[in-house]
Amino acid sequence: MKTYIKILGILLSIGLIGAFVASCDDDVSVENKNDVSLDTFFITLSQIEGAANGCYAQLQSGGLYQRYGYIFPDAMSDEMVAGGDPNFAPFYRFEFTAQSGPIAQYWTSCYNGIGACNFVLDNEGLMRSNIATSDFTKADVDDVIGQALFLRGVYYYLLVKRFGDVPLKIEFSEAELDAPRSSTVEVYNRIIQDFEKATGLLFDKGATEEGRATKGAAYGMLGKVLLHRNEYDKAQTALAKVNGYSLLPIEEYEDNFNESGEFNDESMFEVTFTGEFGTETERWAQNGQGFAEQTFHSQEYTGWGNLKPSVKLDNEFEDDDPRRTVAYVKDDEKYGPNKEFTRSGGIAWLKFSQLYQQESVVENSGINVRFLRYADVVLMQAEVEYSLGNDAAAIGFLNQIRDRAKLPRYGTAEMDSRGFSVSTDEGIFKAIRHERFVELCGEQHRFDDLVRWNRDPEELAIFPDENYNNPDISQRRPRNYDSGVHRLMPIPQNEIDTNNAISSEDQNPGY
Amino acid sequence: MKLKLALHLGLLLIGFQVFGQSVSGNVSSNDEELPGATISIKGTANGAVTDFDGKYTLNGVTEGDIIVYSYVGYITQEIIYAGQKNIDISLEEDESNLDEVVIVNYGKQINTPISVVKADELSEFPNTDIGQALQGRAAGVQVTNGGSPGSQTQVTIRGLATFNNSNPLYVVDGVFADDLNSIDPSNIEKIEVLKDAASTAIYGSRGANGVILITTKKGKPGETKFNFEISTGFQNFNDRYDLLNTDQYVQYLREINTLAGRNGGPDDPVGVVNDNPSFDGNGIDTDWQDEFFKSNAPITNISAGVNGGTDKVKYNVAFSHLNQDGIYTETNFKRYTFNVNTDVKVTDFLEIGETLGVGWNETIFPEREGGRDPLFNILGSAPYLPVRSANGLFSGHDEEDINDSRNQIRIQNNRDNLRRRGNLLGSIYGKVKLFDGLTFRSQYSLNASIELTDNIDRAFEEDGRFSRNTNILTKRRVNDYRNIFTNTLNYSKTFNKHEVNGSLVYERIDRKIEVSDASGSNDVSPEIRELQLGANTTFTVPIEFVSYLGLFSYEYDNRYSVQFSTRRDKSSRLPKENQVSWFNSFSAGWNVSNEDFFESNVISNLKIRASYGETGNDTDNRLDPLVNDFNAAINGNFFYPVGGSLEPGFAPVSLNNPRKGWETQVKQNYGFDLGFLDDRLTFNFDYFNNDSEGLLVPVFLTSSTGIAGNLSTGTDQFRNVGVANVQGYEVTLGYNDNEGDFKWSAWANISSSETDVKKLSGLNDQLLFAQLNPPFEERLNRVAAGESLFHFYGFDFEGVYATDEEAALQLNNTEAAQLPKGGDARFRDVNGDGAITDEDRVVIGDPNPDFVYSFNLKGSYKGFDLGLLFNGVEGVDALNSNIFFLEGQRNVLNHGTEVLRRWQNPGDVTDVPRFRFGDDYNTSISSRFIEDASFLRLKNVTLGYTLDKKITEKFLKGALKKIRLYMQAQNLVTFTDYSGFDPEIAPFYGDTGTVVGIGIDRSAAPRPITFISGLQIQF
Repeated sequence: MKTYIKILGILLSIGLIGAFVASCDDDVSVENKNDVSLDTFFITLSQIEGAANGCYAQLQSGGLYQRYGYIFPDAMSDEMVAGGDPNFAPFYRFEFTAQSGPIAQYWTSCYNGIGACNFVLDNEGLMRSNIATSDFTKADVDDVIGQALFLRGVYYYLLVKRFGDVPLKIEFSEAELDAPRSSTVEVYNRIIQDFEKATGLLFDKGATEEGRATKGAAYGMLGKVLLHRNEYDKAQTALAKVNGYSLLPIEEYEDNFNESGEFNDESMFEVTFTGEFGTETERWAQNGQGFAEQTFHSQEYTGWGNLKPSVKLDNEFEDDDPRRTVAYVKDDEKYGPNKEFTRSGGIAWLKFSQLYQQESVVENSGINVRFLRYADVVLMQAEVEYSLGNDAAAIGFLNQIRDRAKLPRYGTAEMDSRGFSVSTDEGIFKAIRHERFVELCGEQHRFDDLVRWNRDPEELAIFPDENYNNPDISQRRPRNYDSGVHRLMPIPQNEIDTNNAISSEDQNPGY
Repeated sequence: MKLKLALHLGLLLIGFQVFGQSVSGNVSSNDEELPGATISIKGTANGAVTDFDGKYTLNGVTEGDIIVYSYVGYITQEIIYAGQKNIDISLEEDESNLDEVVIVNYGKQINTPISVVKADELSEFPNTDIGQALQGRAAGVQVTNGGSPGSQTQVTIRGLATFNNSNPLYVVDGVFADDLNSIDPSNIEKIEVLKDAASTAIYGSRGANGVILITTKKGKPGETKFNFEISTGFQNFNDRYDLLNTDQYVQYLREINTLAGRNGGPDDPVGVVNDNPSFDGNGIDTDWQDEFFKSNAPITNISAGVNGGTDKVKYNVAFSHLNQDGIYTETNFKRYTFNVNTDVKVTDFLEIGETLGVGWNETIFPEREGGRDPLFNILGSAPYLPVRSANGLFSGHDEEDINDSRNQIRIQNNRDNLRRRGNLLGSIYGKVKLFDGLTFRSQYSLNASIELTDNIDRAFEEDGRFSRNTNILTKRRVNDYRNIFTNTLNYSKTFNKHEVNGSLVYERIDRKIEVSDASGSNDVSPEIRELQLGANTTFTVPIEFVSYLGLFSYEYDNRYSVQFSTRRDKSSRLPKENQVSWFNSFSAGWNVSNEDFFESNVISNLKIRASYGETGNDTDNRLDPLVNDFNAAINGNFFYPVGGSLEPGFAPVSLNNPRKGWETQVKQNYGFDLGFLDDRLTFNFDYFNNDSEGLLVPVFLTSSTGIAGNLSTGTDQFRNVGVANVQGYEVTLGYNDNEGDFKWSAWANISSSETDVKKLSGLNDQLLFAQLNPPFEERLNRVAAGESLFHFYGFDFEGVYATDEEAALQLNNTEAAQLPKGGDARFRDVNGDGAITDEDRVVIGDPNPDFVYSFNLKGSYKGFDLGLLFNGVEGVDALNSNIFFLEGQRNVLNHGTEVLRRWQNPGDVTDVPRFRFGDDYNTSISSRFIEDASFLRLKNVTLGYTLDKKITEKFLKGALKKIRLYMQAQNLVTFTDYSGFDPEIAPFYGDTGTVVGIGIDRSAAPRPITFISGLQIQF
């Protein structure tokens, strides 16, 4: 027995030492199987399309159209009043600072989008050299590059409108390098260049999947930026190349703002949402990553009433304008698919809410943002013609919009009597302003329009509530708007803190 | 077998000693026999060992010989032999045996100040976790409990030395562990805290934050012993904030309502008083705090164990169960632990054994909704709302109230959060004696855990604005398992006066963390607790680690000793070229009192020691899907709907970071131990100085880098950018009087450490940690060169402007975008430019204590024993976020009665700024929120009574050995000036559950006053 145990002991001991010797291994490297490595990418069609999809994702982030992309321009305009939520108050009251988390989110989302675009653009050569050995064609690569250029232009457009001079990052390989603020002119030049290039690479609407950028969208955005840069001839040319789109009949007008009418003939570029999401973590991540295809627009505006149509906007609508009851609903008015519900709880946006089909809103909305629609193009064309001195042409474009709304045309006695005579330049400009105000209300155009028309000091000086035009001036509530400061938001403090090429002295004035 | 061995032993001894007399007897301690105690005759090789019943026989003794009785962990006794036949000896436990420890896996460790907490201290009263057991018991160890039952306890050894995870390394019976909630404190034999240079350096990169060695109870040869203990008690917390009652709040609303539409007022009128000017609360005055606090929250602890064995096989089996309710309603922690340790002597050269600890716990934390901590809702809810409305539904604010507080009682009701965690900590080992003094030991360990987190957020209908008809279910599963394979070749030998000890160690850790997140929603039924159709994401983090260690010590004549160690660590968390780092240590000690020239009747012990050691760190231990984050990676989860279907989108999520390397730390320790009057009075002092370099920090790259990450700041990247120094001292003073019927002991310790950030090279001149949003958008803990770690940074609050003119007088910079008015906070214009800007921010508080201290008094008389433990923290600042809710006035919430003295009219002189809707100027991070959180607390008073042995033996025919009854009060008295609930601020946990900030009071559950009574039985 004892000997037996002893032998067993010896064997066990040898085994023990043997196991040690056999397992002595000095290699510790591990593989990352959660992500894709750069070495094996851009070699299949699904990969290059995936890379293009990645460029869009930031448009859905909390910083952009899941939240702040619409909140900033809307709250700062005069077409909305803020409700009870203190988080909206700083923007409505122009009391934001460089520490603002939402501003940092907006900024970061734009640059993350730019980073994704630059990643695609930096690898154009690789994609093109892989054409021969892969399942994609030159046209596929063109389309991917075109989308990345278009979206980079969009992100820089969103940046330059809010911040003015911004760091211009166009190489992914230089992502890590601190970049100083480039002048607004340089940024716009890059945007124009990107949109121009994109027009030559993208597919037409109908030739590509719904949701992707198209040639028409690129021309539309190119025309918009050129108009904003006062390059009217070029803008005229670009906008003229937008074809294949039409204004929906007024009966279908609400399809521009609901889920069932997405990608209609008037729609030129949309930020796509489906209302679906994955895990709760993903739903609230708000950084563009994960399965989070919902926007809170409907809940924020219509559900909680955090931003509501202003009295000023309501007054701007002509009494017989059918677009008014599509845009918003007031107490005791009917709404719903068959007008079977009666509104109580105060004025609320219908645009981009589910009230067109049900009694109350849902938190996770799938209604797409209509980033660019043809009505905007028509109104831009009117403005371009007006700016070039072609009054008749300008009135012609305006009347396309009037005709669709089945409203009296400009230049008629009826319109003259409503105070919209177009016999003078100022009259035409007033008509353009009026038409953009009501046609595009709630679509994030108004604040930027006021700024480029230099009308912001006047229009934003008073809160647009029921007292905005009170004859008793003391009843009007002054708004803390200073056009020398608030046309631009502050560069986020964390960018200044971390970017060696930007110091506190480079901050926008007043912050 | 047993008899044979004893015979062999006896023969052996007889063979050596043929001359002289023979003495026999019994060695015990506190009425317990000590098997394996050594008896020797001084100056000779003659000796004996006690058997399993503590009995011994020593031959060859002559009168005048000095017989030495010794046993590890006990004070050695010497007796001058005077011809007795029988000598029974009772050894006393050595409270000051601080300078020598055998680390079972690695070898012998000398010249190091080690704080030991032993079983009897741990079993004195039920501790819910090991961190709490350590609180106040070890110098240099600061313990901060998480508040709510089951939450993680933060243990900091010798001050914070890293910006990352500051948790010490826990080693349970040689197995590396993170979660100690699976171990029953009463089944622990001893806890040793390694903190100085040399002892932590042998753990290399794993020892930077100190090492806590936990040894669970092992079987002891002899009669089988059964232990049974039960304790039960109640917890209460009776402090409340002084909030506005209904009358006061309604009046407040009326006053706010008059501001509607005006500067500072809300945009819209306050509906509840505007629409109904005679509103008076309908006689309802809800005390939301009383609704939320639970009184007499029960706590029950049961443990049972069996211990015994023979000389060949020893075993210890234990079970415990803890059930603790929190003082916040519907919070609870349950824990079950099982422990089996076995050692088998197969032959005289081979020993094998195992340790196994299995734990299961279930935690219900306070529920959070909308990112708000529970107390935020409790403080903000209107007192005129009932908990439930007359129609039976939970009440809630409606939109017109402009109060967005949620009904926290409703939240507790409609949310069911449960975290369950199973943990297995096991090892098997074999130990082979190769030659005389040379042994090879191989241990294979497994540490595996599974964590199941379920959040069931049921649909609910409330009488307010937040009703929801969707049930949202979220589940997270984390599987974490690691194998640790440790092989040690040890040589240990004594040649006359020379003692040599050396070890070579190879150790490999393979670890894999697998995370799966799933969630989904349904509108069908709140009863469905599982996901039928949902979304799921998973990721896996593999980690590998290989180490080689050499450890050598030499001692001469119990007078001089030196030790040297070197360790090579290789980590998968670093880029290939930086994977390897070496960590060395050296220490020396001089036992002055053993010198011949040292003659003193007063000083019984004097030892001087010094050590130098290097440690490091390769990670911040965050659970993160970025494996190999030093390599650029692209991720496919940038989904976007295209052509009617959801398509994956690929974009970069990280950049190449080839510079990522090791954090290194150079530690020095100098100290001495002094013993007076036969070591009755002991005094230990240690000074330490630790220099850290290349501290790894997740540096936020500029947002314009364009890599997705944090939603506000974009991506971050680990860089070795920090340089910091920690220095401090520890003093322990102890006194024992164990003679006579009245025995008493007292000890006290005080430790101080100061962390100074020397440099932050790289991108940033500051780093910000810990975001508590709401209510603060900015992170709250800051790190900057030349300042203490994690300090608070903001404006210096000087009061409130009485008038617009007073404000305009100080702040006259017309360039500023907005200027404060009368009633706004007066911040110090540090740079005097006439405007309050970021440049006016200064350091406004330091959450690192100047020193922590504790003292302990113990006394016993006959069967009675009494123990008191005080612990205190001095010179520490806290950021009290409750002040925001009590007097912040950024929204129309309920507030503290402080707002009754807020600024309302020009000329008001007060310290509470005006109501200012939606604007955070007045609530900017400022000294307004900083308070001194020093405290001294009577943590523990215990009174016990052990039944006299004679009485005990009368029960059950003498089967019972010991019966002790005790009563205890915890946290009975706290002395502090802090205005919040509890000056012991719970650590600030980040999204992944790791500690990311300190000193921020976010209303974690305060420590309750607990009364417990218990019964301990041994048979």
